[in-house]
Amino acid sequence: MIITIDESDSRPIYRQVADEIKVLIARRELVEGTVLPPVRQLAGHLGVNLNTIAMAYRELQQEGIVSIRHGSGAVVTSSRASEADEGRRLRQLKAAVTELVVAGWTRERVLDAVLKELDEIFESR
Amino acid sequence: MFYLFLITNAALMLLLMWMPVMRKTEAFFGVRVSGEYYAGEGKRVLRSYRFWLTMIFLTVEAIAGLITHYRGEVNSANVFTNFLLMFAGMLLYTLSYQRVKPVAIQERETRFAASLTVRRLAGYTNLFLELVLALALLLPVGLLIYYYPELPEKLPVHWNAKGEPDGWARKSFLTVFLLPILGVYLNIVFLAVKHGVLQTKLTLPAEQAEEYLRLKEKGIVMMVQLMDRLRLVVTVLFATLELNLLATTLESHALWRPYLTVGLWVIVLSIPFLVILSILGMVNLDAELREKVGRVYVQRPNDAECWYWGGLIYYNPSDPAVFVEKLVGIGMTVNMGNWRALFYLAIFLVPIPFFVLATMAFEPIK
Repeated sequence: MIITIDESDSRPIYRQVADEIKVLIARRELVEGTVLPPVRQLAGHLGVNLNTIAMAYRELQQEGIVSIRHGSGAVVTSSRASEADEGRRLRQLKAAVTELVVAGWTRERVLDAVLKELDEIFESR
Repeated sequence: MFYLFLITNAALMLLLMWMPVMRKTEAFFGVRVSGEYYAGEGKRVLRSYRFWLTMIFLTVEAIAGLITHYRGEVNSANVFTNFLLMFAGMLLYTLSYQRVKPVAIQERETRFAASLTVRRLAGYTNLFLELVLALALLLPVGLLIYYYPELPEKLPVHWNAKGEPDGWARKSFLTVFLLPILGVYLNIVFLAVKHGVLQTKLTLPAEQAEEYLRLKEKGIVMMVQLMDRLRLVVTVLFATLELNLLATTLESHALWRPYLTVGLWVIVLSIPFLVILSILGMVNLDAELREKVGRVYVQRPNDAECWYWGGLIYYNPSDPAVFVEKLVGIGMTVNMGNWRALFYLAIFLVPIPFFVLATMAFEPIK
């Protein structure tokens, strides 16, 4: 259950932390009911500000992936996508695919990349 | 007595000799240096440091030896040598650190990792051990309470190496129950340290994070085991001393005396044995880390800047972590810049003057 951050990445750290946690959930390394480390502890491990991790957890809560209960910390919830989420997720997919095509990728290359990511997630389950 | 302090001073010297190189190039006098420097100019700095350390040691021991020879056993002078050596050694160490600091190389890595696993005290608690500890804490106290009226007014409070009493005081609540209270306090201290070890800040490398984590986890388990074993040994030691009080004052329990004396020696000697075993374990672990992952210590550059006095003190007010792995040394240290750490230090240090005052409240009887 390891997450990695990269200072040279264009995404802010809190975004990277949130994304990494989502990957772990996708891979079923983090399951429903798992308690995430306290903000202070994870911030210490990664050498980042408390607010960075707090923001990451809040983001995940807003997306319905974790629920934060005062005292018990952030707990991974079962992600049953709501109608509004569906629309947002499809828009994210459209944006990602469009970006690749605009960059000159062929249909096959895009499909290969997508399959590769899917394989990585489902194989490690 | 002089020889006991000679041995402890020699052990201190060995520790000081080894400290600069225990993390090799990753923390040479607490500084990250290149391989070329470590094998070249660094060797000269090390030789000079070790030479002066030896000179200080020989001088201090010679003076202490002369004082003991001409003035007889002077315990306070011997304790003073301990502190003098520690202070002089630290001073020499920080001077050498200042020499090495200018050649520090920066961490160029931009990717770091962390584990999301939470270590809970419950997961590292041995129930059987806790039961034995509870017994060792409560049984002697029960006996002391039961036999309190029968105890004489003149109670032994110090015993010689053969287990014979050589110091007495007037019977009081403190003379009888200070040891059990101290025993409970020490249990709390060891538990607090154990908790700290489990909470230790652990930055992982992006590459081979799992392997690095697995080996560091081994180290954490080793530390936790040491804390538990020391807690057991100290509690049993105190229990034995409390039972020894009964054995050396009540004729009905005189038969216990030889067994308790032997028991006390076994227990006391097991402490350095346990500590040495742990040190060897951690040294092996570092070697394994170096071999398999190529790193023994990982930290963000902004954290690396917060080590002072050659990697001995960590002061980082913007780090939420309370406990961090020692950069130079074995085990953990506290983040002096975090107020919570000062709270932990207070738990350890504040009761000490109270215990010292309590022993002074004993009324000595010849």
